[in-house]
Amino acid sequence: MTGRESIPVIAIDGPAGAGKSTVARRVAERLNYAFLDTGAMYRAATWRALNHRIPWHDRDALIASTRAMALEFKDGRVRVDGQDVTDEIRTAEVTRNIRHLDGIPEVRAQLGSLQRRIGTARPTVAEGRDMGTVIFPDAVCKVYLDAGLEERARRRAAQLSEQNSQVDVKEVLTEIEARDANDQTRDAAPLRAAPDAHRIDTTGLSVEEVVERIVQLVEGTQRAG
Amino acid sequence: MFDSLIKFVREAPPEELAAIEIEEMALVSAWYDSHRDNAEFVAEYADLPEKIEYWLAHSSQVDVQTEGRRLQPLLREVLDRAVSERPPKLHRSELDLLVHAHNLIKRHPDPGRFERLAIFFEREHSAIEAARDGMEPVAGLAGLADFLRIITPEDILQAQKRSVSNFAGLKMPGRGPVFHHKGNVKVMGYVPDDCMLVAEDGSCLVHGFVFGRVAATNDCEVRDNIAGVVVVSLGDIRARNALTTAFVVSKWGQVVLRRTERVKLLFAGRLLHIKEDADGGRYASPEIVVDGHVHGGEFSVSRSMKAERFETAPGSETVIVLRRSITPEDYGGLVDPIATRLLGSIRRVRHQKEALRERIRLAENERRQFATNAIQFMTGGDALLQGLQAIVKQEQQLSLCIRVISALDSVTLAIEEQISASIADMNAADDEEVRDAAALVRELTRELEDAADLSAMDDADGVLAGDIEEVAAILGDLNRAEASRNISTDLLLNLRNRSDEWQQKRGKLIESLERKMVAIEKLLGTSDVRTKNAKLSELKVLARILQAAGKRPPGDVLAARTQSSFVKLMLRQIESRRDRIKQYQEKIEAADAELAKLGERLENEAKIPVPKEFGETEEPPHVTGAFSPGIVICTDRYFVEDTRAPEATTLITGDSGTEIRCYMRSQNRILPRDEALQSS
Repeated sequence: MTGRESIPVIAIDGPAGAGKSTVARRVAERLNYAFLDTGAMYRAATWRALNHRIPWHDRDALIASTRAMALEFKDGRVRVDGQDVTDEIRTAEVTRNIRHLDGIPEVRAQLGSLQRRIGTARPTVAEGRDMGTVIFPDAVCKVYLDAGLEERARRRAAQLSEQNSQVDVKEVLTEIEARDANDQTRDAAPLRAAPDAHRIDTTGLSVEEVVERIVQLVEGTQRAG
Repeated sequence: MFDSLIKFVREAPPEELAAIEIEEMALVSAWYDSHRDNAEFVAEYADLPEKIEYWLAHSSQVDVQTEGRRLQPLLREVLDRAVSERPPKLHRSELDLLVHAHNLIKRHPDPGRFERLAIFFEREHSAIEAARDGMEPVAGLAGLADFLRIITPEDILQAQKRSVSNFAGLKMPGRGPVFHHKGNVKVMGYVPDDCMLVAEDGSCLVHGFVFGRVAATNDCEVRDNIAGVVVVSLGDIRARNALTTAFVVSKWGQVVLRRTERVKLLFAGRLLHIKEDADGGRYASPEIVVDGHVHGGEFSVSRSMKAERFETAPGSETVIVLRRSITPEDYGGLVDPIATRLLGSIRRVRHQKEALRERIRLAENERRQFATNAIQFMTGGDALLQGLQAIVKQEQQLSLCIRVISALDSVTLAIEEQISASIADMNAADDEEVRDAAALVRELTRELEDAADLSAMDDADGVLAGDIEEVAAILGDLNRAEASRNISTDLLLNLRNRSDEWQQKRGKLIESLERKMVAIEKLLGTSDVRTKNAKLSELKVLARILQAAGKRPPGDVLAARTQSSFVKLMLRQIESRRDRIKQYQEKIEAADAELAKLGERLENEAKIPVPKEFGETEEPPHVTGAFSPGIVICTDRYFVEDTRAPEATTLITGDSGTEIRCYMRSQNRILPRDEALQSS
């Protein structure tokens, strides 16, 4: 108990490939909450930097690009500077390069502030890497989703196959391992479960099963509150 | 013999212990009890009674929602024999198992969960106990392990590592531990990633998830979800859900699941049943039933598909492919050459039966039409004669048209399949189907004889003669292609174009006939005897009229009309169609006899049960449900984006709201059901 009032945010964190986006979106639909896809925000910022050919070593340019970005979420679509980039931000190239931005504290601060503004406007399900630890420390319910490395690689490979990308599962596994290492060791808001988060191992579970567990947690929390 | 089970029970976390079945606990209890004279043993395993008590106290709180529930093959087998054999010939270990299961049920807080066992024991427990007491005890439950091998994930992980290029008859290379057992296998837990479990001549029961690969000759029951590979040869697969990357194949049986999510492939040789929703992925089975909604995915069926509702999903369209057949090629199966040839022959004979049934339907329809024409003339007289003659001629043209379209479609389908087969394997192409289909076109010469008879009636405008010439030209093309062995895509495109032209002709003929019939009906007014005999078929009405006319005095108008050349022509056509129907029925009987022989060979030589598919039912492949807009239904997946694809091979649905609709494959077209049945 922090003494501060809980905000109607369900914070869902976890490593790459744990199923956060899919699960969070469905939980939001079930509970009639808004859905905040913070991962998409970092992807959008990365896509913009790639599109503007900003060198990854030019920190100032990356920060400026993120600040200048006009980002819009509507009807499940993502628009950057007026352009629909919903599919473009999910490519392997964007995925590989997110790490160049999400470790910059100024970028995290800008996007974090935007996330807080959106998340507190109405009941929201927010998914990302530091929702429960940094962005929404007073969230009414915190969940940390995890899954075995092979399971996450399999899911990610299947996702890429659907986008008609050539996929090598071993390469995907290596990439996920690298992202885990980067997420967990960066200085700015490293990936870890909040001490008061409910941990759910999603290995072998269907999306519906994970959604059901989270919804029951939320309803339990609401009854206790 | 039950070392792995005992180890599992002793080491399992409480929630896993509570979730095991009564079969396992009865085995543990009986096994422990069988060593009761060994004090050292009893001391070493002193914790087992505690585990049994824990299970009794907590198992009723566990309620696993899954289709993979049949996880107690040993208890089921022993119980079946105890019920069917009189007197039961069970040995001591089997009786021990039953007695201990009974003891557990008596002490269980929720005995209603074990209904079948409880009913059995109510009748038989005294006899069972008496039989058991009359036998020497056997330590360790010897004999039971022959029926069922119980293992843990650790046993699988410790199995010898091998490299395999094929797995369960599929080209599926892999490397990892391979646990192979001849007989039934039960896994107390999950099947790990990169591991293979093979139950040769047996069934496989998995208490947890499947992440690796499982192959079984008979059934596979999985209590949790499948995220890996499960292949069974002769039996069924049942599990909770099948998830992303799952590859599930029941070669000749059923697959039953709760839900599916973006599966890599789900194949069932007989029936696929999803009890809730199907969300994306690829599916193939002669019959698919989804009790809930479909959200995206590609579904191939050769009999029927049914769902409560079909919807698209973000980034995933829903495509239903209504095919002529579902084959082992759909899951990449390596079927041996004998089986391939026999299956091909079965398919061919079934298609022949299908064509024969269609021709019977056409001939019966024509008989009714001729009877109607005769009735109309006898009712309306000479004033209608010219109009009726025009109608008869157009009906004959239409009938010829339908037969030509049907024959052309059969030929084009056969040629497409031959071309696909030769693309897949240059030496595999079998031109028997093409020859069969070409024979259908040749049979059109019989139709030409009838057409010649009718054209003698009145063909001043030469329309029928023109049609006859066109059919002769099609036959000529086919004969030349066969003679030069040049069955090619050029011929295919030529025949498809002709089929499209005849379709257009058919449409115009139907419109013209409708107008003519309306005119005749107006002239007839209320004097049309058919409306007065609405419950009788046209043929029966005609028979009654002829009978009545026969009793009329000479010179009577009705009697005179029955002797007219028009009515005599109609009666000749009715007779000719009846003879033809009889010949078709004899051919169907011959086809049935051939199918029975082929089926016997398939089961005896290739050990494969005869697949059921279209040809055994009256209805062509169809899909039923409520439809959201944008659902794609097609005869071939690749026609969907092909601008040169034949007309009507793809249909995109509108929004049916809550209304249930049915779309059917008619030859090479997708049509609403009523239209499809009418067109044949």
